[in-house]
Amino acid sequence: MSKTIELNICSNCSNTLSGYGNLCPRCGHTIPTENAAEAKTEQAVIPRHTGYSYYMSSSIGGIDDDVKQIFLSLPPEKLSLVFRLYGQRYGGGAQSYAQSTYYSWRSGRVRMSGMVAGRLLNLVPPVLDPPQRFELVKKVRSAHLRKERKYISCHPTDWRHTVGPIVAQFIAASQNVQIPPYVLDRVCWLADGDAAAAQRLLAAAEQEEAAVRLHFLEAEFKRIDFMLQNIEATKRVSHTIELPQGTITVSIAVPRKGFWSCLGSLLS
Amino acid sequence: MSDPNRNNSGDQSELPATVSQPGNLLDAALAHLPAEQRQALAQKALERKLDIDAKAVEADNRHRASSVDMANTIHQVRALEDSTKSDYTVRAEYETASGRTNVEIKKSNNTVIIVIAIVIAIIVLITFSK
Repeated sequence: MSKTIELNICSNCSNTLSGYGNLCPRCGHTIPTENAAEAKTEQAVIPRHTGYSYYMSSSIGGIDDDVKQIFLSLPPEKLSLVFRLYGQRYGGGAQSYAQSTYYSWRSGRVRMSGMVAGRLLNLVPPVLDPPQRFELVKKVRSAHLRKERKYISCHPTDWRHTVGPIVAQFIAASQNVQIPPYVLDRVCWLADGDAAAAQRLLAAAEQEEAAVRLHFLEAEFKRIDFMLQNIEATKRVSHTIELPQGTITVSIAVPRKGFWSCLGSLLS
Repeated sequence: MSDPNRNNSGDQSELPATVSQPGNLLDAALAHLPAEQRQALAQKALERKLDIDAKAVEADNRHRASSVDMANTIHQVRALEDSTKSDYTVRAEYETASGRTNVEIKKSNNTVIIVIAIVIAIIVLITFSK
């Protein structure tokens, strides 16, 4: 269920016009199709079916609702650009339906169909400002960031050897978050340079946040060791490290008293 | 009682370098972007940076507060040790910079168990001696 389309590069802002015909969603510049020097084309495959399911909605972090809300409150110039893109991609009939139904969608008298919402998912974000698009990328990314949960056990003096590699693994997980190809196929703009840059920035922010949280880890384990040395009756100590990438629960091994020392302390 | 929080610049070789030197990852990521994208994302990067700075301050506050709370727990347990010979259980949770620490301190003399064990032993001895 796919068709082959042309990818044009806007000569005005170098934006990739994947599936938008010859109208740039970012700057509104129209590339004359007959001008071969201005429009560099290549082949790409995009899905023919643009509707989406609940599963699809959750795999994009629910941004379909955000896009719908943003669309219904777009300023006039951006709205007309979206309608022009809509017409170019889905035909004049679909465009006039969308334009005539817009205020009914807005007032809630008519419920937007999944097909239209799916189409807007590809048409609205490219016309938005980078900060707004960043927030959408952030939501999609967090839907694919699997928060891990690990339980480990160690002695307070050798925690670094046990906890260290797991912490490193957690931090590295931020760099390995990938939006699956089926999502990129459906939501083409997520593969654009801006979206990829936003993802890199978000990964760095997660790593930075993890570093901030872990800055006192050394001191925290020393503190636990200090407590174990100073309070003989300590039975259980556990430390939970909460990071943006997941949670590590460390059970600290408490040195147990032997039978004879127990008996000795009882008799004394 | 020495302060366990001091001298925390020990060997962190097993931890990632980012942990020992936080504060420049976001800047580095932004610097590696092409100029156009850097300009487009500068505002969001700044917002994230401010957010992380605020989280760093919060982490620092949590660390200080939990240090005080932990020291208080140690004092209270010592006071309890000095004032009573009976059993006690102290459970504490501390919100720390990296997460939370749970501690259970339990003093149990097992007097009842020992008495029962002695009674059973006597019964067994009497039974076998007949």
